[in-house]
Amino acid sequence: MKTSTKEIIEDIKSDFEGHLDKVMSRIEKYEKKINSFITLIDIDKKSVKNRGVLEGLLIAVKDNILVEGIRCTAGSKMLENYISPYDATVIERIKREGGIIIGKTNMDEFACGSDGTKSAFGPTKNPIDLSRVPGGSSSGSAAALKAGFCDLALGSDTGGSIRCPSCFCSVFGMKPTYGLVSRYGLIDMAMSFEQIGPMANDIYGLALLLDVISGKDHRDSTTVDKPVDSFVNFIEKIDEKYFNGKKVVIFKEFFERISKIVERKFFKAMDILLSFDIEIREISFEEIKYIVPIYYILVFSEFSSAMQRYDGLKYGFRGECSDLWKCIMKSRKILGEEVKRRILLGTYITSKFCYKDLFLRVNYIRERIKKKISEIFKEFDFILSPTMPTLPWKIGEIQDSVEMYQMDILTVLANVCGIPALNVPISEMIGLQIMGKWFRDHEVLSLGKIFEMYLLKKWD
Amino acid sequence: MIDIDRLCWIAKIELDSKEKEKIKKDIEKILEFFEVVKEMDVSIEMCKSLVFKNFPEKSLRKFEEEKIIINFPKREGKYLEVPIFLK
Repeated sequence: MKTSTKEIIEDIKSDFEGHLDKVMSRIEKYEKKINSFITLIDIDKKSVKNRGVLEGLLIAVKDNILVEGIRCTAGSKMLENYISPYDATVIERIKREGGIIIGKTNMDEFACGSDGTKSAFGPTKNPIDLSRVPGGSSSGSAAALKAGFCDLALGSDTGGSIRCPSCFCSVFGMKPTYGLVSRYGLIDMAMSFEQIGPMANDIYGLALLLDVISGKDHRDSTTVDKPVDSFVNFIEKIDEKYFNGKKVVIFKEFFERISKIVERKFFKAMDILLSFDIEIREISFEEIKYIVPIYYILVFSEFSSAMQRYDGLKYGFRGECSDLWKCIMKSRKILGEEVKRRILLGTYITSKFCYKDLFLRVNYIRERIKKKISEIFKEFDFILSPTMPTLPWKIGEIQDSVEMYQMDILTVLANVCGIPALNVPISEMIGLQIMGKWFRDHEVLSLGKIFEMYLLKKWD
Repeated sequence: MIDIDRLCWIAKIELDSKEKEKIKKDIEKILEFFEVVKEMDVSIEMCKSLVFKNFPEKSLRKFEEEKIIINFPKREGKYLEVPIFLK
């Protein structure tokens, strides 16, 4: 099975229908075991007219990104029958460039999860090991990509929701700089943290999709009005000399909680950098120990506000009752346990009892962490770490919420600060994370390409 | 001590007594996990207020009415039906 994006494009140019048939037959054979899709879309084989740069590539889209006329569930029974009235900006751009949406992928309900088991439509399985979690919340997108059910995929990343499943399913996945990609048409979880991002089997695929989806959108005021140079052009022209003199930092505190095998594989991969004139230094970042609680306090607060709209009145599931208030309560009863827990926590955190102690306090700490990262980036070019602290756990193994939240320790920093972050698969179900400066997504992809070239043929 | 009944009422979440007991324990455990942020010596400042820019005319999008109302759970013609709340 061809996995290189360039090879797939050549395949499509010569025989799109043949390529589509191959993919659909894989889906027919294996999808029941993996459960990566919530909705599969009927594709008219003769519909590929405008090739654009995406050349008819088949793209799986996380089911919290709106595709006009197709149901958009966000992994929840609340929206089981909700039909999108419009395309998200990223989808408009993909369609304009000839990308074909093959289906809407499974996800943790309203993106509330890190392992892919909290969807109302059943858990997704890891295609590498069906007894293990694929990671979440963009579980279906990563699993579909790994299983060969699509050529590229889209996910969303609030605290690692692209990088975690990319790591566990051994594919590439990137959270772009906050403000690079429009969130118009994304069912939001926490608006100040999340970004839509690409997932692919190689760096070229990531760069190609990022070229299409990024850039200013007048419908999303958080997108930044600055020209975006082509990521594909940049990574194709980069050579190894570009990295000579660059400086990489790793944070000591990241390694206090990771498993031995992850640590071993990470440092083995880091040996690649010794071939270049790249300085690697380890420093202490004390605020790391607060990063997970800071992240979740803010995310729960934003999430509880975002979820207010799901009251069964205008759209979504409506629980019948003659009284308006009871109707709203009965409608929201259909939400999953983790979603309800987060709503209740967010409501509590923003209440007068702990607004100052928790919510205001961590907003200030967030700014302090951003300033500290900014200072670090005056001296260093990249922050490297493993993507996840352990191998993917067995389905059902982690039930405790706090234990689950702590699995995000390595990924949430990028969302707290808004910096770009990329997962590079360095071994089976183990990833290396590259974080870079704001709006230097090109450089992050390029360093990822170096690892890709040197490592991927040699991983065991 | 969390007043779970009041919290559920504010959040508009309905739980039975077993669910309330479980979720209360979970919430208390998670809030204990959050306590660590109080170790940080910070002066609490007011959050900066967000300034929303007015959207220019060109960004306003017209939608086809039918595509919006197709999602109404209950309707009569173009009207959305909701339970009575004025008595």
